Amino acid sequence: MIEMRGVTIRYGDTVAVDDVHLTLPTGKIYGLLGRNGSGKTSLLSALASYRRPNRGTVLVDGVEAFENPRVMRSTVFVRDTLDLNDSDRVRTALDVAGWLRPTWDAEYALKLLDIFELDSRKRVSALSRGQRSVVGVVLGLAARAPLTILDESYLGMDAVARTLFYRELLADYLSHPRTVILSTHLIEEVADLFERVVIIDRGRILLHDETDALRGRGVTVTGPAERVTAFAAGHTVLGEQSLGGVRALTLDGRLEPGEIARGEQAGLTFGPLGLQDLFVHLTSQRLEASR
Amino acid sequence: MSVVTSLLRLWRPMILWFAAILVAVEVVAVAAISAAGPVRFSFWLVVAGAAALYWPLVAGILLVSMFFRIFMANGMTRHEFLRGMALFALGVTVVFPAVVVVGHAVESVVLGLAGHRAESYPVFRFGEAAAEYFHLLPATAGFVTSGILITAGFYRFRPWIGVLLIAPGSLPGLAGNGLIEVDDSGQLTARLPYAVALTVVAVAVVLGCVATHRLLRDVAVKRSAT
Amino acid sequence: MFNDRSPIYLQIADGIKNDILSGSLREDEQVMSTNQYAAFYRINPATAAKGFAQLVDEGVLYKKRGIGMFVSPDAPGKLRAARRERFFAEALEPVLDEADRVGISIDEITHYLGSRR
Repeated sequence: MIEMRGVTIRYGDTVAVDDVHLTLPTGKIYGLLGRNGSGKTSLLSALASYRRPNRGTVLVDGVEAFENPRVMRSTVFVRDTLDLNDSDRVRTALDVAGWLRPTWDAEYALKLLDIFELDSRKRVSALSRGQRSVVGVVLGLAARAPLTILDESYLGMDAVARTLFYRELLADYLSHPRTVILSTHLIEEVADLFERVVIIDRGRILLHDETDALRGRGVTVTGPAERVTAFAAGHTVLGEQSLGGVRALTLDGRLEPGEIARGEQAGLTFGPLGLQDLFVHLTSQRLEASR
Repeated sequence: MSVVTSLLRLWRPMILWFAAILVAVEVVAVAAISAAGPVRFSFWLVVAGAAALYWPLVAGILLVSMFFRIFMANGMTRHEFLRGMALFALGVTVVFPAVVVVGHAVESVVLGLAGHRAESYPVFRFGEAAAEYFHLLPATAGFVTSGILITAGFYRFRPWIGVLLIAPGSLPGLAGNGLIEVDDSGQLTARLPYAVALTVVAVAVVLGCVATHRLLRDVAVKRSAT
Repeated sequence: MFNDRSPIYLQIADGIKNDILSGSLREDEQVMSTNQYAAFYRINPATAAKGFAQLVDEGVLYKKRGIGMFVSPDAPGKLRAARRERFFAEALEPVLDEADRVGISIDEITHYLGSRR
């Protein structure tokens, strides 16, 4: 069990993470979603003990994680900026991981380099952004750490490399189950891998649920303005659009089949909402307000 | 593998290159000088002696700026890294002066055999080896401490605070080199009685270690090198 | 394969039911393990497991401890019966509604169906 208790992170006057309480049972793949500047990386830095929270604690299996050698050894955190020295060769970065990490699988690391077609003799400074991300993915997966945190590890990867990444992540998770936390913007292409989704917005946890429970959670209702408005009474409205007398509302939550039938009889049409759209609606009050 | 062993393995290529270049420069330069006549000073003490100060400083800077986050990213705690770094710095402090003394001995003996020592050349005497070693050691310790401490200041704080901390951060190095030194002519100098000077340097180094621990024991792992 | 407009575990369950109805999965035939299924369709194994658990609950699949999951002998019959019940309400009613909207009479429909016999 990984627990965050009242974790707050401030940078001067800016509150990046605001009193977050979060309990993550181990052994699952989590998706951490949030817009830029929502506090994703700060939250992950606290989880990985890269940063001591200004307030609150992170507990892993009941013990405080900060400066705990056992917890640190069983955690790998690959940041989007990557912790590599430009002058090092890729091989050196992998060697160091092998020296220091008891769970490191050197053979698997080489296999991954092979899959991603990356030459380990190259210097980090000579790598493209996507290749640097590949090194991050290799360091993250081959560490086989019980808590594996990958922060936007796909940056700069092309579609092929991303597909390989998702495939390898799932395959390795199936053979070596562990807790994986993946932060991403590319929700649609990776959501099927997440057992649970955590959405962070302005430093607070907006939602933490099973991914499957979010599929089809939102509904769009379209039709004559006054009938749509009447139908929406009692529902949480996530977004709205109007064109002439036609109105389209995005509602939160699942509708009863009876409700939909009644709506259809009244001339309304219903459409399900994808995960990406749900995420956009949940985290874009400003976008809605500016309409 | 422990932090200090990993550091040694990571630095090995750097150390070997550095040593090779130093020896090559020494051999070529001394050969050139002695071709022009008897050698009047110890080239090794000038080059390696100075390096005994500045190389530890650079080592200290690199330890924090380049290696701290690498070890954190590979599952070490800050305290484990600090312990490993302290051991490594201690190793530098102990070994580097010995290298300078041994080099001086070799240079002196070789020039003596070849009959190329001038009157003013600081002849190496085995009886003085320990004294020479202990006149080099305080400055080495001071400079490696200052390198680490100043970089830790920059790592922890914003740049302008880091700049302000350069002054107190350089005290161990200044104390080490200012109070006890071996000058280019091979003269052993202690500005205060040696025991007092050594105590002052030791206090400065210990304070530097304590300050470094304070700065880094719970520091956030930065996203870039500095 | 899957869309994100309804829970994947329901889509998995529906897919396997269709395979049973079409005969591509036979009675007492072993189905893929959840891990095989997850790897094949690139989905989270817990999601796949939920779909299979639903089918076990409904009696469509049965478990053999340590071996895997198999199609229940009575699954095709039960599924067919259930689908037949839903056929008129879910498949035919919308057709009749549409016919009504565009002005096609029941007689026209029966005539059309007669010609298809």
